[in-house]
Amino acid sequence: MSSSSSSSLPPCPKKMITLKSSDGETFQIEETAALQSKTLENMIDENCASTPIPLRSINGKILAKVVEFCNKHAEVGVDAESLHAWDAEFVNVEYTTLFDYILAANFLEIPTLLDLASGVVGDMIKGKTPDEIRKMFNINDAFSPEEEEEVRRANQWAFE
Amino acid sequence: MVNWEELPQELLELIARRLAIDDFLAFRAVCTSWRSAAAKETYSAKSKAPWLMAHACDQIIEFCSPSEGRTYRLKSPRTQARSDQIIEFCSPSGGRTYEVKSPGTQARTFSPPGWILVSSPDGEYRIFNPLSRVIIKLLTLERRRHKPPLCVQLDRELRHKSDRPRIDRIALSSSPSSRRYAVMVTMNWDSGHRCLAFHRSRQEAWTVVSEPVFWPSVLQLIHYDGLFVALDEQNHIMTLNEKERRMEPRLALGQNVEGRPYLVECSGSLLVAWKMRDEVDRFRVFEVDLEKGTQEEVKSLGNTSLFLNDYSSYSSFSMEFDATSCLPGLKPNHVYFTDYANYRIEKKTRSYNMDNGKVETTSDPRHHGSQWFQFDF
Repeated sequence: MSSSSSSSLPPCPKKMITLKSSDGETFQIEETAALQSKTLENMIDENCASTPIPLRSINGKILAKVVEFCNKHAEVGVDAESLHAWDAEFVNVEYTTLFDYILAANFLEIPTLLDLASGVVGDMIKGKTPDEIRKMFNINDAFSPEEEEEVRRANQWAFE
Repeated sequence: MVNWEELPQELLELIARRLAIDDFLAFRAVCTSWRSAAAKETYSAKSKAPWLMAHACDQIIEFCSPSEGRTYRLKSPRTQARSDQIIEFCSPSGGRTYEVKSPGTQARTFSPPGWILVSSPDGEYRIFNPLSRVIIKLLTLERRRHKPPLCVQLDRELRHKSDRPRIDRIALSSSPSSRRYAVMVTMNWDSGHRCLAFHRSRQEAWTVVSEPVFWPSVLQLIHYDGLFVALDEQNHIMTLNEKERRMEPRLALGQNVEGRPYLVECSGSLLVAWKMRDEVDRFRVFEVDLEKGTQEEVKSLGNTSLFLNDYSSYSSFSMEFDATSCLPGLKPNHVYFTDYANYRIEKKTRSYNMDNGKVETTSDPRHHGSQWFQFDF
């Protein structure tokens, strides 16, 4: 009897914190998962996490994904291989989303997400010419004419 | 609207740090903001996959990145590009060929990494960096200063000989990009005479520091921890005493070890990697303490790997693996080697696993005699 009653007890209530996106959406995240963000960790340490934390530079769509990322990486018992596959799927997104991931990961100081997202950008650059890279990332203003000449000379050999 | 130009510089730098040299150069050529984020100083050669460098045809040099299949070639900077002055680079990924102009022929690598020694038919030597394209003409080998007895001896020996000295081994104290450096060479003559000599930048003659006649041949010459370190064919390690203009013996290697020793600097330590004289490829690695004159066997290279080049004319080096390393197919705690002596028909590079002694073929370069090369600014 005693054993059945103990198993039916609700688990120790998880400490949750609330994040608020730039567009006013709120998200609940377990404190243990939030600790992956150094920014949030500092706020928790300083007892600033009892009220919803406003994140003015991150919109709801991106914040939802960031919370999902932190939850997944806080899960216990996930083997490295399946987490790797999950990560690969997570960053299989539009360039614009990837850009937002990098900014969010930088703002929240989540090194795993920052490494993952910047790694994908690095992979996309691999083997491309500067022109191809500019097209891919929609970069229009490249260099001033003087710089242009210097760059052309410096890169002479690499892109013949 | 997302604007990749305006990504904060530290984030752009984070991306640039992960790139192999050719992608790093492309990144720098995208726009002003990306260029300044990827300053040359952010490129950490030590953690990048090395390339393979080869003479493509007779004297064309090719650089190849084995795991990614990209290739670059070096050719002469002179207006009438001679086909014998092209060096080919093969990249660690991709599948492209690039040509780089070389100021001479018979390219050889030496320490520090990133530099190549080339010679010209008129007996002049130049060192150059294929990335920065800096070319430095070495002091002519005929300008030598000796201590009186050495001077008399060498002059007497060479008086009636018309042959000119050649550079056999070379090491620099630091990258010549830093302007102040010392350079040390072993010179040899067809007559069999040899000597060790050095000079500092801005000095106008080589200072000869060894007996020219009876000195055993120097097999390896590197600069380590502020010292020029030489290893001779009797497996003695000696260092240059610049003040007294002589070589100081430090220790004798190879008691109980038979094979070919390679001097390599690795994470601040001086290592001697022995390719054992066995039937199978096997390596043993020792850490050398120059001060104490001792050596101790190293069982694991930890997070580093060694890249040993052909014994005669190329330097060897180590690389450190970190999170940003671009290392498709390369693993830490391995000895990578391109010793083709036993594989005259094949031209593969191999790796020796320090953990279990397993030897694997790591790449199949296009050219026989391809050597590891680490780009650096």
